[in-house]
Amino acid sequence: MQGGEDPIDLFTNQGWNIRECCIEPLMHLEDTGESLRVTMDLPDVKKEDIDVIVTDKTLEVRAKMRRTYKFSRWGTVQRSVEFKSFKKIITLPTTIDPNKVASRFKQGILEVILPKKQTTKRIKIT
Amino acid sequence: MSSEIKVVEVKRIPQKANIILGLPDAGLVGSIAATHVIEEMKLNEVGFLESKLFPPIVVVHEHTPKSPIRIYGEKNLFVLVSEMPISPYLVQPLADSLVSWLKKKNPQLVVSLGGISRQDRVEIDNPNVYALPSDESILKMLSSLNISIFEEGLLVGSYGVILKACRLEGIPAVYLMAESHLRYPDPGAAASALEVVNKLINTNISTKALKEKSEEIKIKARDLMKRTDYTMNEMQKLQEQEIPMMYR
Repeated sequence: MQGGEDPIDLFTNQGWNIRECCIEPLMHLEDTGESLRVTMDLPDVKKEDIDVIVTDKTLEVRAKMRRTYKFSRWGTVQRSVEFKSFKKIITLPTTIDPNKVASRFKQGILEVILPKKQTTKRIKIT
Repeated sequence: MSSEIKVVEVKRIPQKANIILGLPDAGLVGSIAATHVIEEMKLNEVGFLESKLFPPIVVVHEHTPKSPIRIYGEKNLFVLVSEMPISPYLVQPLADSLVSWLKKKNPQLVVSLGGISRQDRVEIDNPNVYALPSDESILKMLSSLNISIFEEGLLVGSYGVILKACRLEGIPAVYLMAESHLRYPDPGAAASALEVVNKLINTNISTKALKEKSEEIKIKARDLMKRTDYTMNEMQKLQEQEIPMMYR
């Protein structure tokens, strides 16, 4: 660490962001063939406090926790930190159709189904 | 005892005790359940595992450096809990050392707590628990308690290896698998597993606090789950969802 550097800057790419009081949720992405399926673990979150925003190449999820979680001695920072929300931005491995995306939230697990953009074409054999 | 991993008893662990194993695995069921038992019953640390094979991890609790794998307990109940996933190269040495130690302790019963992953876990309100016994007498006991038996399949990871070794050494053991998430911490599954533990070893471990704090546990367990997920991928844990080629 160089002199004068704020140690918080070292912790914005480790799955949490102390400045924004947010953490990345656990996430799994699978390719089901015709679509991508993303699940995320969002404990202590209400459905109405989740924002899911898609483009044809990205998925962004933000969710506010019901309460603030405070850790008195956090990791190598060794000071009190608070987390109030989840945030995750994913660049998808393939282009999807944002108009056909569906999602549901049950038992703390967010599921987002992202149908791939269809670029196939039937070829006639002469 | 395999010399690669040592079980160090800071306080003597008696013979004929019940021993619960809580290793990081599917849904962190074992880790969550074991930690809950230790907290609920206010068990003190009585031992730990050490080895040059372990990654260079030291856990610090209350300004004291500790081994990531520790044993807590008193009287006739002891709990082994790990704060680090068991990498593939550690599985056999750990099983060898643990089983060698268990043989000397002549336990009443060894109970491994784990998860069996269900893709549709969100649809399940009360996870079922399957049990795999080390011998026929344990099987009879499980059947008399109406506990579902794990009849056929593949098991990947430490627990299966430990149970097989217990069977070979004549150590009474059972592997309890609660229906769980694979990659997300699952306190609900841990609670189901503990309810079966109570039936098996006649304890009265309350799961009320576990259920009440489940959201907080999921957040705190996030990073251990990430590391465990990585280790499960290394071991190809998804093989458990395959249909075995042979049925005998």
